[in-house]
Amino acid sequence: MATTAEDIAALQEKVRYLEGLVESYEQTLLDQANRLELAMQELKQQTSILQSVLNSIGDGVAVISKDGRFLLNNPASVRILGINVGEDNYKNWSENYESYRADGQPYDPNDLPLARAIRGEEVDEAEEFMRHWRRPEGVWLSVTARPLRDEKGQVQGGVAVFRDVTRRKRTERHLAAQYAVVRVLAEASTLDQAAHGLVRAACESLGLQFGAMWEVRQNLLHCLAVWPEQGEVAELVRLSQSPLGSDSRGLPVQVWKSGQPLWIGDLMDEDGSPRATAAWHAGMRTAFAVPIVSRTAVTGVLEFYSDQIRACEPDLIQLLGSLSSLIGQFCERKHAEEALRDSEALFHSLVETLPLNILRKDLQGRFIFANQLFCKNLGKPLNEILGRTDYDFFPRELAEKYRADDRRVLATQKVFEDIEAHVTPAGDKLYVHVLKAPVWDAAGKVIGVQVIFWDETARKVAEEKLQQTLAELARSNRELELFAYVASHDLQEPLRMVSSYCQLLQRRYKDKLDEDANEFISYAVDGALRMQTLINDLLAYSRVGTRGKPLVPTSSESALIKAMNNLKLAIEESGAEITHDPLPMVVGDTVQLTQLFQNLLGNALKFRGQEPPRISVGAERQGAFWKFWVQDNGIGIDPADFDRIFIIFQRLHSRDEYPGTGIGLAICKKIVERHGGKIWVESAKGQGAKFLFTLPAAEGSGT
Amino acid sequence: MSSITRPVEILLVEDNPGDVRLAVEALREGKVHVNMSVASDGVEAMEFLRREGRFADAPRPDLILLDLNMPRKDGREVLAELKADDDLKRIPVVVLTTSKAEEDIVKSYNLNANCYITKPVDLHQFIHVVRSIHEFWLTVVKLPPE
Repeated sequence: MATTAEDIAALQEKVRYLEGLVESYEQTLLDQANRLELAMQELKQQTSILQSVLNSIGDGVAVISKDGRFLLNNPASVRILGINVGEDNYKNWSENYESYRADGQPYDPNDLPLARAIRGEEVDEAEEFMRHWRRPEGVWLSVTARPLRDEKGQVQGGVAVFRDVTRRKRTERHLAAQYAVVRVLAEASTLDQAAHGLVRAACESLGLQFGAMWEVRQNLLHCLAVWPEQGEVAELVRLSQSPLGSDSRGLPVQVWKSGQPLWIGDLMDEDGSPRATAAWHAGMRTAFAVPIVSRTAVTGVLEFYSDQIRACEPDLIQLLGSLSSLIGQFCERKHAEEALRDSEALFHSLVETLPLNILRKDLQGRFIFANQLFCKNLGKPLNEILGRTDYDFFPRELAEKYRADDRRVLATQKVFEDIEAHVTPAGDKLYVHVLKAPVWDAAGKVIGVQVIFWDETARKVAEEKLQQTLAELARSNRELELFAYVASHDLQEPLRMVSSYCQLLQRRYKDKLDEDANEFISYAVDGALRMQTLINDLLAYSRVGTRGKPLVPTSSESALIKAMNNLKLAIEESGAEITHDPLPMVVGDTVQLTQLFQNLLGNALKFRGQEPPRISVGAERQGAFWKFWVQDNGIGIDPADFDRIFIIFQRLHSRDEYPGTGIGLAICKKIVERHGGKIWVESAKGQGAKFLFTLPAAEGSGT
Repeated sequence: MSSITRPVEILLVEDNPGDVRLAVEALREGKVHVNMSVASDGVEAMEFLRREGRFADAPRPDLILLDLNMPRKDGREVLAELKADDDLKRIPVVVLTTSKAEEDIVKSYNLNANCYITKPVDLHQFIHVVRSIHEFWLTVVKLPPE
């Protein structure tokens, strides 16, 4: 082989070149290695920053690969979701978790934010409600998702950033519920009308599955509305139809009785009332209720059910509390409106149906109100009356009188009453009763006059007629008594002539006449004597009215004792025993009271039975009167004769059995009636008689 | 006494002739012996007592029986005049009338009647009354001298 220096040199040259090349490669490599090292260090640093950012931010971040594998989820995502999704595949999301849209509809798996991101779509702040067994109350998310693309723009995966907006959503829901309830209340005019809308609005806006509204009426809890009205809750709806007594079990009654909200987190724990059982079977798990309070009393109950087991949510209870107080206020307002309407209707109907003319005038005397009757009587429609004055409708003189009366009312601020006497154009009398009163405004300032007047002619005429009749009657009674008195007085004289001369005949000519004549004369004398007795009795009877003394406080006991003294002989002869209670002071005529007792005692002595007479006299207080009685053990009176015995000259027995004209009790009746009392008898034939009468008590005569 | 020295004089003031006769008959039946004069009303009675006109010779009565109800001048007026007259007021007056009215009784005594008697309807009682009047006023009672 030929090796030349040239060759060697060339080779050496090559070697040097190669050495140089190597050197430069080495340098480059070194440089590159250095650069790589730097880059690696930078990357490491960046990744660590990113990691710590992901670890520390409050928002949840999750990254999935194109095929749904979770590549990354930060600690916030675990906290927010309540689970670590690291091992899951997003494609199975809907199988593992419940997800709902904001409108409450379940999410279509293809519409889930990350599903859309790996299809290349961008999703901004989508709302998602997610719930699973570890978080049964669920969580509201606001999700923003983006596709992840490589440098060629190919989608390699997706990233989602989300936050917990449960609190906000709840507040929104509560606001929505409040708004819905306020709206329903604003549109309703009665609680009955509002009830269904209220329950529905509350359930829908709060995401509750069943609601009912109860009202306390006649100490029973009546269900006003339920929502929904059918479906799985049918049994619950049916149970709501009968009113609940205060002693029945179950949620609504408990709340009604306690007046406090009640939360039953798990219906399984409830006492097994029919409602709770029905609710459980309808899929309900949690129940709660709040009282509706109106004017400090529980007037109703709002009851709700949820198909989730939920721990007590104080803010929900608070919300329901505020809703029920809205409803309570509504009821109060409606009651007040109703009362106002009723009272207005009442006054309107009074003003328009009473036979009264009613009108009001302002301070200037202008009509500001007139009822229909006044318009009718004036013969003008209301619009032609308002704003005018009395001068427009009445003669000047009359209008001036009215104005003067009005001014007096305004000045004195007192009611003015007058009976005006008018003469109609036809010349008839017309009496008008007028009442005028000041009208005050709310501030207590007098703003006008109210006038009420009515035609009192009929009453006034009737009254005048009555007065005339009464005067006539009094005069006639007086005349009649006077007549009886004078007649009986003057009849005595001729009668005495008849009897005396008959007797003189008898005395002087007895032996000169025959037996017949003697008999005739004796009949004539007998008749005359009897007539004289009758006349005397009539005189005594009429004297009760015409010769009575004024009625003054009098001792009834001393009247009785006087009567007993007058009858001393008859009492002794009959062996009677008369007992009496202490008797009171009465307002009376002592002479007539003596006669009253004397006649009654006299009767008791006269109509005695086989036994010696036993007579008792007593009295007891009866309102403004004293009730007296005179009771005997005599022959008694048949009840059929009770009325007859008080009639003048009525007798129940022949003169041979018992003498007398039948005047005694008639006089008793007249005396008692003159005193303003009554007299009656209680008796049965053969069982004694009890005469009772009343006399007015004297002031302070005890009870 | 007057009854011994002269017959007893009685003035009956009475408008009803039936009553006058009855009184006369009663005196007769009662066997009472008196001189009885009659005045048929109050005017006549006062003329008699004052011996006026045709009564100039009238005796002064020992006793007056006076009816109350009469025409022209009634018994009450006679009684009032009589008892106001110093000369006549000592003559006892027996009011003899049909009336039983309380006010008549009270009024008569207020006018100083010496006694008041209601005429009984029964003749026998009337006779008894007349006899009693005589016995009491004209024998029992001591009267003032004329």
